[in-house]
Amino acid sequence: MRNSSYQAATIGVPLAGLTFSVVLFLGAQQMPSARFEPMGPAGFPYIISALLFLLSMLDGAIGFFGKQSGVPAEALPHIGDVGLRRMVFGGACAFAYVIVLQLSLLPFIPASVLFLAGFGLILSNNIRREMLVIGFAALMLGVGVSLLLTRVLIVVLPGA
Amino acid sequence: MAQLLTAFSEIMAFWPMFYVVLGVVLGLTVGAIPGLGAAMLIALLLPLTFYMDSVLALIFLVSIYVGSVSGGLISATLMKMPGTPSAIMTTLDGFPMAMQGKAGRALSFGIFSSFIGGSVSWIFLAVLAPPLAWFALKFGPYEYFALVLMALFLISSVSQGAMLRGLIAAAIGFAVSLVGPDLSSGTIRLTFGADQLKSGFRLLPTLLGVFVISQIIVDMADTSLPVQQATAKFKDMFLKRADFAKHWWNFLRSSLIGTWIGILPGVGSAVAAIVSYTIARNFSKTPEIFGKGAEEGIIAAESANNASVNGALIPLIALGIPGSVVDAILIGALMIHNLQPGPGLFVNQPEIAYGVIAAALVANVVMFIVMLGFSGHIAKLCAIPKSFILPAVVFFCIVGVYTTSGRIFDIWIMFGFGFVGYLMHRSGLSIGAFVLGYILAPIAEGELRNGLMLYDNSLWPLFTRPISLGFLLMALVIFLWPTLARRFRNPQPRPSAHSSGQDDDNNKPKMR
Repeated sequence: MRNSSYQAATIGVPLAGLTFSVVLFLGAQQMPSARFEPMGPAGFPYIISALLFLLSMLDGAIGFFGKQSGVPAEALPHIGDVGLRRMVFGGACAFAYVIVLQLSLLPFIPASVLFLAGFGLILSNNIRREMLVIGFAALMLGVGVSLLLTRVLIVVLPGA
Repeated sequence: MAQLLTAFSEIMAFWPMFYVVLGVVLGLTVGAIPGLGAAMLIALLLPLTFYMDSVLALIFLVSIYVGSVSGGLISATLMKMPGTPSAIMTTLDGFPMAMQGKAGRALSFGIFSSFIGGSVSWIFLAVLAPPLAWFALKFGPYEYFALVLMALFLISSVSQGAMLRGLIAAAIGFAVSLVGPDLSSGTIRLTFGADQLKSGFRLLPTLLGVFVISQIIVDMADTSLPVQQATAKFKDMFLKRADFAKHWWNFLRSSLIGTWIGILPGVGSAVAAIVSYTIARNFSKTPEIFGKGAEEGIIAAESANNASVNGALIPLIALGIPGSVVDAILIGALMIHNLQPGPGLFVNQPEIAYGVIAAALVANVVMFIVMLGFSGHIAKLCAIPKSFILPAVVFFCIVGVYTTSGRIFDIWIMFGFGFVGYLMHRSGLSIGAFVLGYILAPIAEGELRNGLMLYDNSLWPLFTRPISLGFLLMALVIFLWPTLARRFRNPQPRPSAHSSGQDDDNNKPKMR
């Protein structure tokens, strides 16, 4: 697993750098030329694009010839099935919460309480024992923050 | 001096002291909880400070910074889990001491070291920052540009050990900050027709994404259970005079090392602790007990990491260049309050500059008192399950981003940067270098363009003006240092009949 992470990082980092470099170059080409000063708005993007290109090529070359250029993934533990499941469901929960707020499908308080409780239960090691406490904490936090924002800080919250 | 005394008198009022105590307690608590940290908490609370007075906001954030660096000591000693990266070296000796039944003594060494480190480095902050700021007022655009280059090389050189990857991360940070309006011409750049990006990637969603959301993803994947926890008694929390007499030189040396490393732009407290610990071990009469419960190890690590906090504040308030990643977020806080970080702060808003200096010392004293009295209680908070903490943190991120901009789109940007930050975690790209690149890019671009206009489109003054040349030479040394250091450590062996194939291991750098 570590080896595959290392290989992914060896290829992925130079590729990401090159992608950024190309995007910057294309974006800089769309900008107007300099008029009142030497560099103009496109000058710096060109510089960073060239720099990223050079650095990424160098990193790719070092990786290609088998020398370690970074510290890939060693500081992080291996992600097991449980961890992966939590990441996927937690991400989906947060995604759904923002969609609900954006489309105003639910008012802020119930949407927030449901999100907090759902996310908490996804991460819980002992759902039966923690369910009530998580639900209560979610209710307190959702209602408390909503009241603080609307009554004290006078913020218009998203949601229906 | 008079302005500093005024700042102290103002900070002693009710509300400033309230925010100092609140900041320290929050910082200690979050610092003690593994997986959370100063950068995360300060980024998370930035939206809240939006509604606060600028001076109070800065006092609050500096207090959090001081508290969180110190809080890592508690979980490092009692649970063998460094709450913050700066407490990693403390774990090596703190936990073995705790397991030997000397948890109180280990904590007291850590607390007193933190206090002494913070106090020694504060003297440097108070003495050096104002004259350095006056000196920096003489800087022209190329001096600033060269200083930014040096800072980027420094952060890249210490970022997870790989300079090339650090530079790539910093360059990507530069690229991200270029999206949006060009400050000189007003041209909208790199949006590719997306109207939502016309204002660029804003500071708060970017910072919360790469620091907080990425860490949440890491924490979600981590299913490890809490480890064995030691307990400490209040009566063991005080050192004797003999302890100070025995270790005074270690206290002082480590504090000076931490201060110096903190001053270097972009380096931070974790490196300070590692360097100080290594030096303490090399100079110790009993190096063999390091890692098995050495008091000297705790002193070295904790004095240095706390000293680096005030050291890092020196370039922040004097030059507007972040001394660490947390300082980069503090620069963000200044920007949110429409304050220009840098030497102008002492001229235009002296109450902010001196308020920060005063808050650093007061927060250090409050940290000392709270740590002595409540370390054991704070340690208990580490037992709060992730299922309570992480949803609340994500919720505060979402609400914080929305309340400052009123745009749901910024929440999506935050999630996007969270995913990017997680990928950076896994691929060995430094998030610190990325953030420094993102924060420093506007300064670098603005100063370069100003320099070119000032000197008739010539880059030559960058190399002929003494200060900018000095910064460039330092950047070059930093860039070449890994190669040079390898050469010094591993001199090429002379060809000899006896040496072939033997003793290769002797030439390798030793990890002790």
